[in-house]
Amino acid sequence: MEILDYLMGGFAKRKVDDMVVNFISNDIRRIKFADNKIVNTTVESHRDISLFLAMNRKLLVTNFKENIHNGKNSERVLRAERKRADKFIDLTMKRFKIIRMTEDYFGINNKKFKYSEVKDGYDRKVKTSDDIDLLERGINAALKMGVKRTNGVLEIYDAAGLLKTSEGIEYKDKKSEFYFSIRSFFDKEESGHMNCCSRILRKFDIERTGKESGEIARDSKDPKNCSKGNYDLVLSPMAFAPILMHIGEASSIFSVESGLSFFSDKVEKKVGSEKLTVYDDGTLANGIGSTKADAEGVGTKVNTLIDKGIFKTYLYNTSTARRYKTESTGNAGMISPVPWNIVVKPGKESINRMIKNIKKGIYVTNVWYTRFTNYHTGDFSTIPRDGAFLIRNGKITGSLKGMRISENIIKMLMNIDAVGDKPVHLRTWEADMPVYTPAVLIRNCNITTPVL
Amino acid sequence: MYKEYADFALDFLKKKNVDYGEVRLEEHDGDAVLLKNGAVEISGFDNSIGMGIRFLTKNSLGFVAINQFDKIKIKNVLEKGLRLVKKGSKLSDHISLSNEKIYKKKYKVYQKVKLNDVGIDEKIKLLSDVDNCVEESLGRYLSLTTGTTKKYLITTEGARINSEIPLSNFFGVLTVEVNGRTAQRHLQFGNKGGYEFIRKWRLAEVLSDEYKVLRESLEKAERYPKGKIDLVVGPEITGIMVHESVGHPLEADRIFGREAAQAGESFVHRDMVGTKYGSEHVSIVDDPTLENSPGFYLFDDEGVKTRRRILVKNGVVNEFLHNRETAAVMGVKSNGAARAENYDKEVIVRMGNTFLLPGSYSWHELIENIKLGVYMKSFTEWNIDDKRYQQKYVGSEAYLIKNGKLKHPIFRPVIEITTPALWNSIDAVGRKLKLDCASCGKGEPMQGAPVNLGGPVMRIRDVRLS
Repeated sequence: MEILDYLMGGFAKRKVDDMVVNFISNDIRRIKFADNKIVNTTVESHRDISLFLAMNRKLLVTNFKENIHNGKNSERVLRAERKRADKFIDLTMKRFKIIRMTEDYFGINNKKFKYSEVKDGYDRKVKTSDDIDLLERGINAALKMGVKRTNGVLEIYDAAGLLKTSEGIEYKDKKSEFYFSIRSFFDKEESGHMNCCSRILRKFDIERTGKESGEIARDSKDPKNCSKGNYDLVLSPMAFAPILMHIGEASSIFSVESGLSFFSDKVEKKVGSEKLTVYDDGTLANGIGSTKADAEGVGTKVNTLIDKGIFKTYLYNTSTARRYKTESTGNAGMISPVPWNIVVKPGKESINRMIKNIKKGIYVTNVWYTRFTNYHTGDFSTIPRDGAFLIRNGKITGSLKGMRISENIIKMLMNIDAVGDKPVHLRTWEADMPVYTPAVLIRNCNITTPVL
Repeated sequence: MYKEYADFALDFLKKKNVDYGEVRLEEHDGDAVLLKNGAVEISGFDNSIGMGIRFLTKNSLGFVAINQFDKIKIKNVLEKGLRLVKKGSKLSDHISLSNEKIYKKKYKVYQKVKLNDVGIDEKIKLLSDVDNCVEESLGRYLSLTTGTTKKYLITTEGARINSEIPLSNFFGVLTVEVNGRTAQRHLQFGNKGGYEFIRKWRLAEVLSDEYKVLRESLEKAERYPKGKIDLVVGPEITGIMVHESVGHPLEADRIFGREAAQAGESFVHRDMVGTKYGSEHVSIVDDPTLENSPGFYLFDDEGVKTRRRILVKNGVVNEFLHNRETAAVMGVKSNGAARAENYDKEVIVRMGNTFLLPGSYSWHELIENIKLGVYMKSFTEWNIDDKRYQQKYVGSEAYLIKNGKLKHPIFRPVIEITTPALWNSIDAVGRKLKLDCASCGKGEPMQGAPVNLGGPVMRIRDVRLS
């Protein structure tokens, strides 16, 4: 795009030290359904130019609007666009004059990387998929399980990006995504929820997702109020995803410095059981968060966050890595380091085997409204919803409602006793950070209930 | 100059003979600054503009969002949207909108000191001065965002609403450590008005006080009592209780299951208007017309004139929150609760400013007869299930009440209670109304909405802490 070069040239003339200019196009289709019927269909088309600029250790983020050209690319239109860009540069320079320095800023990436394309990262079928047919198949698969109502959303994203930096880095990226979330209701209190996401249509199993949502709803018949106490929990991938999202967020050096991380001062210390190994993987094949490079052009890689229970590293961009005399982990976001896909190393246990090894427990298939008393200590609670099944002496004996997991996240990670053998890739409304995880068995968790 | 494109989009929809069309053009200008542990982490400014275009054709609803002001692209994306709606019509719900009075109005919020006239240097200095007051904290995260949103809403029915609304928001997190133990506090302030409101927040004083309270809690707080007690909650907790367990469950789109997949449903059903929700002391309203409040607006994002909604009157459900879609289902008029976070989001039913109406009790009267109780002034963690039935609030600043007197601080008292048990246990409500700013999350995709929530101090009789 000519305008990106024009903007960068303009800022270079004004002696701006570091620049990252990012053009993103995103075309979205979304079909929302309730009670088995479509309640809204959405088509979105966005084009955005965002900029990160640094001058004398003064940092600015901003955006530049694409010009009006009504389909024409005449010299007159381009002149008008340049004139607007000049005005924008003048305005930005005025801002630079009045903002303060960030003393501990240490620049952007200046190394060239050989980027590898994300495997299964883009599918041209994103432009032509039969969305209504997909949706119908997902809903029908749930209804076949005998449920009465289904609710949810089908989303299809077709995105492309072009990133350029003042260090001569340039890369293009394309991303497609198919996302389906379905919550089935057997009756008012009996529900099941399942999601799926994929960057390629071939691996987007919408019917399996609908079926599993329906199965959970069907099986959660006649839930009884849960009693408070200590339980062993089997958390399904959906239920574990919000905890993994917080693990990802707490791993960013930004969270650590802000006092918002339960991993503060935990590098090389035990934060979980030996059975737990967690990575952040920006290269994950078909990973929703995967990208060949981060927001300053550092090639992404696999970073081990927790190795057999030991916390290994925070996530850094170039500036924070230089501050701590280490290497960037390839996790730069526009402002601070961000995780890409949180991945749990699979174990060998099936969910059925986990259940067999529990005397008193709950199989939790989903949670909602996860909130922290203290991000620094990891004290939090979250509410199981949809199918939650009581386990007695190795067997599921009924379904439950009206409970809350009131716990400490480090304690829960320490108490992981088994990791499942079937990982799935998810992003959810509750946890929008993509995860790839199996179910986990966590011993001795505190369950609380309303007190009358 | 962008209005021309909104008019073009509406004309295009008219030519396509849609049953209803609506174009919402939104332009936002603003800036933001974030301080982390006293240093400027980043500052930024933003100018964004786009259109959200909604249409109803043969009882199927479609929505298109675009931020490219190019008539060919607008036409193409609208055609794509219309095609998708047509294709999905075999599965479509039978959607209709209530008939409403049509308005042509222009309004704006007066700013004594315009937000955009105050340099970002002054905003950085403000946060820096606040930080200086709490620099002994282990972690400080302070942000200030300010900006003005201009909206131009037009419909095929002839509505035309122009508005210009400034919004400022402060968000801060303090982490305090004493002898290896930590406590955290999240604080938010917001107003729709000029910079004069930011000065009224007295941020340095408030955060300094909060820092001292957190330290005191870590140093001196004792365990809270078990067994039945009387719980007195401050306006901050009254507000979150009102918002979570009255405002949300009375949103009609939840009641009808439209948000069932994610934001959730409601234990309330459509026949509950006129039924008991709480004690006679409980009267709760939602009022977007409060000037300069975070939830302020006069016309909603469907062009309906809004008004104070009396949700619960003397303990009885009086009305739900409606947009035109839910009002049509109920056979009533919309009460102007349709809001969208931005041009690229669909309008859904939202609260504005929700609060418990004041009662007649003084502070002294509220606690004088309590033998053993707890005063929970502020909270940290909270959550509620997706039917809005069982909820939890964890106290931050809290004190023991013994024989009618406030005693020592207590550490993180927790109440977990059902909605009927909570509102039926209210036996006294204070005189002084206080409102706090919050961001309310709802919808799929998620939308944040600035709101006020609050009320006076209220007394909850005979409850057990967890």
